[in-house]
Amino acid sequence: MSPSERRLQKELMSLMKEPPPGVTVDGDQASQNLTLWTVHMEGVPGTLYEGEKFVLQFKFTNKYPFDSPEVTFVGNNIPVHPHVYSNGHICLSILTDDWSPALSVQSVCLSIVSMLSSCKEKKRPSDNSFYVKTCNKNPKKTKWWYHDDSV
Amino acid sequence: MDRILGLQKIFSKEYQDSSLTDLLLSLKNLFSDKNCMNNSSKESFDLDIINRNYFEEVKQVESLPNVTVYFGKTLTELKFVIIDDDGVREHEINLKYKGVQKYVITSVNLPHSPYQDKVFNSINEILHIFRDHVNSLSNYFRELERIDQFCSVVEPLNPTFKDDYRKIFLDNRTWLHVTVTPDGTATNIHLIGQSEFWHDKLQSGLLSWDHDKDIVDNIMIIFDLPNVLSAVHEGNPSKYVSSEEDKQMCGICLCNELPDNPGVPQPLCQNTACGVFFHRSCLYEWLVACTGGRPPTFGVATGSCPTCFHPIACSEKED
Repeated sequence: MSPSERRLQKELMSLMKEPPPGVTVDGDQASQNLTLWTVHMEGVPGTLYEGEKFVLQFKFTNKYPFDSPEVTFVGNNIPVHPHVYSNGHICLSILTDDWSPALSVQSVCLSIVSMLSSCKEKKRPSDNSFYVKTCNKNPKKTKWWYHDDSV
Repeated sequence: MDRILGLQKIFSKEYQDSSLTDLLLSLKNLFSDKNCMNNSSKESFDLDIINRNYFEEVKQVESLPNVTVYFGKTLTELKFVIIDDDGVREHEINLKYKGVQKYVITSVNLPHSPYQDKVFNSINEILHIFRDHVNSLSNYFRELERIDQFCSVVEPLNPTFKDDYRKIFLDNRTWLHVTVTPDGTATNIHLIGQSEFWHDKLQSGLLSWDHDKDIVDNIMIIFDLPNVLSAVHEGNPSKYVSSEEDKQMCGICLCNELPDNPGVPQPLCQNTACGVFFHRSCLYEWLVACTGGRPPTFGVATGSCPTCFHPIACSEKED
């Protein structure tokens, strides 16, 4: 088993055993293919996303954790949020420039939960339609201009 | 020749949809067929061993709930995996068929097994005794499970119920040794490593050992770890376990040992408040990757700590 698979296996076990509130990983699918995970996420009660359900997709390369995972929202409910494009791409610095191997699937999930939870107004990014038309399928190919840290 | 044809027939027909025992019986019938018998002493020996009653017994055991049967390298070696009365733990017992109504236990994955190498008349008898034995150890299992769950166990490397002791991490130079007796009490409690601080705590703590509490709770109280204790009681050990484990495993690959590298995780970050351990090779690989994969000048990679972002330098080889 390669180091990246070993680490993914460990992360999967701990995420299945002690998932953060509102987060569940599809363990069967992930254990069959360790490089592609589906994570279900529920909107936190008391926030704008209360009662909503989202699906996140994680793709890992064999360089993980030296290489960040590719994380997008998938499915028919993409959260309406100033940092989430309607094609599911997420503008979040830890997914690209600020990635560190000390981060994990769990910490990425928590960051996304907190990004959603701190949202004050549900709207798409201002450049949504342009970006969605022109972007690469892989969000990691995008040179992100990080909007701000407050949301 | 006949036998080869017979074998082919059995395997093509029966192997697909019959149970293992049926298959073995057909094999046995094939080999005990008069035409096939010759004077080879070895073969007749085999035939004696594969006795119909034996298979009947195995078959009977196979139908019991909570027992799984496996054959070993030869048909006379058996392994049973039984699930204990708590319904969660699996225990293995290996035995050998030594002739009609003669069975010997060859190994058990438990300590304190008083029945080893005794001869028994039937498999059922063995299973009965083994099951009683397992159930009598239920406190022992529970204590070990709780220790493994809530403490950072450094020895045995992969603790099992066969190991009746645990070496528990207290700090970088001190470990606690505990042996668990079959009835689930702690014995042979002592420190490994010189530390007056832990030593004093242990001496006074042993006097007030509370036998109504389990071993983990007592350890937590003795070493005055209230946070840990509350985490245990809230059934939320994650914080404690992960922080203690993180200290020893590499913050990058999340493992202790690397398959192709003898190095162990070390506190390589120069920020003393950070304290996260890394394999030198993992940290080096990350720092090099951050600079676009170029090998650094003089073999020392620089960058920032993956955990605390403190400026950090790391050489490829041990200094």
